[in-house]
Amino acid sequence: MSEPNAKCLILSDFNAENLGALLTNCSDTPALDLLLPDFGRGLEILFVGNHPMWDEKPDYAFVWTRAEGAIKAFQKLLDGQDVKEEDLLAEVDDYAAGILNAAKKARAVFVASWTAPYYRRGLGMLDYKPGVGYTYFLTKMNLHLAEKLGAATNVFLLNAERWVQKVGTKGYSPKLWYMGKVPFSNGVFNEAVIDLKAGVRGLLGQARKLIVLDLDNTTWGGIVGDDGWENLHVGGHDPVGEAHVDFQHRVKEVTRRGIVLGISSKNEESVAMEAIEKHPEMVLRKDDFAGWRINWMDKASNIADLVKEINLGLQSVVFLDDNPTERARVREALPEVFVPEWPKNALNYAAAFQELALFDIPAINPEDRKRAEMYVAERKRSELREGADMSTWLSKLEIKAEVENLNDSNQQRTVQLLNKTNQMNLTTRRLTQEELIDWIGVEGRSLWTLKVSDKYGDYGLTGIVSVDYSEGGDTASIVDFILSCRVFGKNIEQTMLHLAVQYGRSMGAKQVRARYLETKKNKPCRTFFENSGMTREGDIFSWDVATPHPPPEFVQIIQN
Amino acid sequence: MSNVEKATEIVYAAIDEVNNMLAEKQRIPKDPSIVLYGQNAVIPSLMLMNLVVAVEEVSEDEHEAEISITKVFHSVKDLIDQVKDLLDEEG
Repeated sequence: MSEPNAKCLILSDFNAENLGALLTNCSDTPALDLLLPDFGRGLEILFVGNHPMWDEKPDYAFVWTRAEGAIKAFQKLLDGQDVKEEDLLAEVDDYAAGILNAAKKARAVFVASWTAPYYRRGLGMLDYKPGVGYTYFLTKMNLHLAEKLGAATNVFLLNAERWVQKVGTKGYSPKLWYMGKVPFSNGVFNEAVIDLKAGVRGLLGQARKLIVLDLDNTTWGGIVGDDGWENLHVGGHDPVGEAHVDFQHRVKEVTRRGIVLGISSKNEESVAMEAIEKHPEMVLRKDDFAGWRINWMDKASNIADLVKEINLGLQSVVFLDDNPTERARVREALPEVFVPEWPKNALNYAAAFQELALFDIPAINPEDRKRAEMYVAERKRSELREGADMSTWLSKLEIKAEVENLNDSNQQRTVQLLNKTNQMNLTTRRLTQEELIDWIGVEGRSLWTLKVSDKYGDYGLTGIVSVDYSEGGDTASIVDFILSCRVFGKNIEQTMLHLAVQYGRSMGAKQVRARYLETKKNKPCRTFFENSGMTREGDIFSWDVATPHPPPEFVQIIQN
Repeated sequence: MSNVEKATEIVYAAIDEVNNMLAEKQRIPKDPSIVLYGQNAVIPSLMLMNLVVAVEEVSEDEHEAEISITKVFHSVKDLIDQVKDLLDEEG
């Protein structure tokens, strides 16, 4: 039986039926079931903490109001009355408090920023004047709201201005407003749904992680095999060249958010790599790519092969190619790979790329910033590994695992790893930061994080193991056993099991037990436990702590 | 293209837009006999309002004809007729 859809509660001061209908019927994943209160009740539900609507237990709430609907002082301002800035911001404080209260009742709350219709010229040349202009006050209100909500890890203020801007003058519909109290056209609501779903996917760890680029007429202008690298359109005083450089800059920018790059191109590898290395204006260089398949074979097979090498799932991949036939082929052969339509004109590439709502993540950590570099380091390791046996190779890596308890500095990354790791994950338990803090607050429960490094680089915080001995007795239970695929096979799995068994022994348990909960994706975890030396009964793996668990080979454990 | 053909095209394009908001089973068939208002209407009132706005927008965007639906209509055919009359008035 499939899992029920998550529930999304929409709270607004306007008629949100159109928004709800578009949200319900949007084919983008994940599907969401709608909770839509009666018209006019949205703010009431936001401010009344025990309102019966919360008994429906929404997974997400989406709060979208008009500034003049939510902040009475702003309506007074629009009516020409004198309003003190502090009074206006005090109302914003109350609104933020309502949202933060809602954040305790849902896994996450998305909030739309306030916008003004294009026809509201306000005070014209005085509209940004501090203490006077409507635009000044609206901007200040949005920034104040952002600051008030900023500390909450499960509240996200979405930029509604962009939704309206995309639709243009048709974004606001006076007719819909006067006839049905619907302030925005469906174009605006569609954009909102796209951003909302991208946010939910980000929270569920379903953001795309790998961009596979075609080269000719995608990464650069021209065909390198015919034109030669010296004659490619990359930079120069040429609009097409400048557009390709800009596109490359935008692609490189997302690698700073942890997105990894690959290449799938029909070319001679030596010819294409020469262009990447030698062209003076190329932004993306060899060290920006975690891997590539540059040959004359089928691109779909090449992408599948590359993804396997990089150790990601196909559902993590976006493929960008100017050629519609190649796009169609990859879509057909690899339906999990997202293949967006791509502009015919290269001048639109950078804009099309920036509009992709595929890479949203709830927080950016130092590990994200370094991830692309780590994948590149992994490619170099793999090159060295060729020909060496596993033990010899591991022994040369000088692997270190720095073990820490859960603390303020590693909580955010721990939650991120907990919520997005699928393969080496014993129970696939998903928790918000608040839920995790509540869980660990019970005596007898422990959670360790593992920061892994070797002589080639730092993998960052990539492992989590938690054990529950809160009820005492003979058994300590491993609850979370999570390892990023980046460090599979480096004996970090054994390190984690070693930590869990040590803890069980120290607490006086007779056995340490792991109950494996199967998902579609966590077979690697079962395989590890099957080969771990533990006793197996069905999906339960046990270690009798009378036998000490051997420390892992080739890993130096540093306990902080 | 005659104004009847234009009116039909406008109304059917507007139905497409409204159908984007509806689940498959609730979608409005592109059929003149379909009842839109009153007893046996296939869509709720908010969707009827969306349809009116969509008709006016499609007319303006695709045919540069600024029309305003003001009369009550019961079926898809009534709506097409009204749009045709408004296009005739536009000249």
